[in-house]
Amino acid sequence: MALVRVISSDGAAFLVSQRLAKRSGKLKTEIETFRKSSDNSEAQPEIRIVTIRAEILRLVLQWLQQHQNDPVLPANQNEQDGRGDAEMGQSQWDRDFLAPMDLGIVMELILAANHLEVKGLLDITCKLVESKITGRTVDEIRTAFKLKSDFKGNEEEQTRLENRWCVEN
Amino acid sequence: MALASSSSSSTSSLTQGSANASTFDPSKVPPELWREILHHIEDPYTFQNSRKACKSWSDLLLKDRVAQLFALVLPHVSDYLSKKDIFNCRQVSWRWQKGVEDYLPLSPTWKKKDCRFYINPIKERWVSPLGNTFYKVSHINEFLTEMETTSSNPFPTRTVIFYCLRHSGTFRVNGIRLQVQNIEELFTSFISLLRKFGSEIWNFVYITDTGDYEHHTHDAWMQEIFKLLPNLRKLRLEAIGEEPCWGANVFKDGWYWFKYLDPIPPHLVSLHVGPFYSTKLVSSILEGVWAQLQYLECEAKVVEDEQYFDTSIMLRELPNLRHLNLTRKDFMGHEKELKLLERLTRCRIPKLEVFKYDADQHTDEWKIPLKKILQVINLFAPTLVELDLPFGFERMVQPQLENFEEEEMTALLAVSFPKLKTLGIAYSMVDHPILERVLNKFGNLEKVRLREFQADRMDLRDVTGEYILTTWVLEKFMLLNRMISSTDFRMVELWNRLDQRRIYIWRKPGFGLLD
Repeated sequence: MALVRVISSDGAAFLVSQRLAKRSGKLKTEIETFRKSSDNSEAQPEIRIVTIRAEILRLVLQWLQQHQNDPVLPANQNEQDGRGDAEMGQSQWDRDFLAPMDLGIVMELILAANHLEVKGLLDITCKLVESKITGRTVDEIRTAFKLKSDFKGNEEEQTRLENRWCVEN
Repeated sequence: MALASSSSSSTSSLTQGSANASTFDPSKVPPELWREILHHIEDPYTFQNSRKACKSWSDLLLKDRVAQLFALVLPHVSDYLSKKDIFNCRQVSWRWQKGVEDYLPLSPTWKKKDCRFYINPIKERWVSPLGNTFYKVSHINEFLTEMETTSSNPFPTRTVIFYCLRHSGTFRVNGIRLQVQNIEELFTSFISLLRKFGSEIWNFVYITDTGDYEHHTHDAWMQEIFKLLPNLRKLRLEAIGEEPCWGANVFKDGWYWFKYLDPIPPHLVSLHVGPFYSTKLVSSILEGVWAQLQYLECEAKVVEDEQYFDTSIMLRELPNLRHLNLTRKDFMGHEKELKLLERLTRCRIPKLEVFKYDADQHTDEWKIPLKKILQVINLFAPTLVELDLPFGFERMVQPQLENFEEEEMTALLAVSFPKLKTLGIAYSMVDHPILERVLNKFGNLEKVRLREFQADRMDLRDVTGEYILTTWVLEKFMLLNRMISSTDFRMVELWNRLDQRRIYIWRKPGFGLLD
């Protein structure tokens, strides 16, 4: 089985099959670039992802592994409104996968999925963040994301007044 | 297959000392102090870079992650969120607020019609927060090398806004300021950026106020740019300037070469041209992407041509178009207005869901009755879910005020939009006798959108700049509320943001006036 070594920003190396890695658009491009530039067709590609740390990279690879037999979603699916088919593609495994995660981790996963071009993962993580915002009050959003208001003086009141006029389209 | 991992020891830490020969030893700075210092990082990109500096910093910054990363995550999440939710996010913390304000103007779905939006220096912070300034073209090469070394993408929102403006001081590309001497250098520099990052770009916005170049040279540059944007999804072209017809001058020859691009951007689904408009420009692009286009918006301050889609080939179908937005402020006579709509009836648009037709409200020609306009629209767009006729609607029915005939109403009632759920009309239509009948006609409506004239805007601000509701506005609300009470509509929210105000009325029992 052809393997590829994927290295995180903090130096952790993950050895995965090329078939699995190619489900990421970015890794697929990198592997193909390596093949074209390498004289030795048997050489094992080594890809350094300097923007993703090990904890997050491991989660992405774990998700890819679980979904390795899924059809690859086209990148421009539902392009007009920009939404993916998160709800359609979300399995019980996905829900269990995301459930224990801190929202900070989920945010990092969104950025990693975008960077690695893993549309399915990008969709479900975006949907999760969206679900923590949609229909909630400001205080509820703060609670969900474990944030405290850090506005100074009357900034918060000023923002609230501005927002009075900025409601649902 | 198991994932095998082996952790490297390459990460540094504060305790390992990175002070080099300096007398300053960062390891002696207490973590609490570092935390306080690092907490003041404002820019999310700097935050990300700082996390990579060493493990200790990474750990210290973990606490700020949710606040800092929101600005980077928002472009991916925003399509799932309503504007209300996005504005709620503005109130969560000042970093989230900044994230929203930095992002929204770049969002292709956040539409702005006022060209001053792009050149107002107060709004400079709206551009990408990269903020690089290149005083020499050679500096771009250093920048590119740096970005390449770190595998960074200077356009994290996948949007590049390319400004070619004579009057804004310097040329720029998003937050990247290009201190170049002339337009040739500008394009050369921009193309060198795209050679590295073009494949990362999904949305390309080109804003220009200059036509001071040889057209064949300009076309060659643009062709080169499109070849470097293989993943382009959304294209927005804007010619801005004070003089009428300026946009038509800038793009006067169209882009006849577009359909010969090899390849034509295969993912391009959205095209927005305006506010100054060139028929030939849109037509030449349509000839290349008519089969794949899903969103088309044309804004026109002045159009001299009679037809919007004057393509050299007969355009018979826009098979995937779902959203069509036409704005015209140029009509000198009603004949042209009808010709545009009749031109559309010769084109099959089987999936059209949203049609916004913002006709010129200043024209003196009031000869086309509303029923005629609706009948024509009905011909090419029977599948509409949303129809927006904010200004034209009022103008079209004005002639009926004095001599309203039942015959007209009967013809109107014969129009059928079975799927119509949202209707947009002019604000001042509220007290027009025809409105009630129109509302009753479209029985499946769930939302009515009202928009007022520009001239009324000042009415909603008092001397301190606070928004207020004038008696005049309240009277309209009351009248409308009475008028539609029989159809179960209730107003639930007012919406107002600087240059746009809308009032929405939903079929949602349980809400009273001004709840």
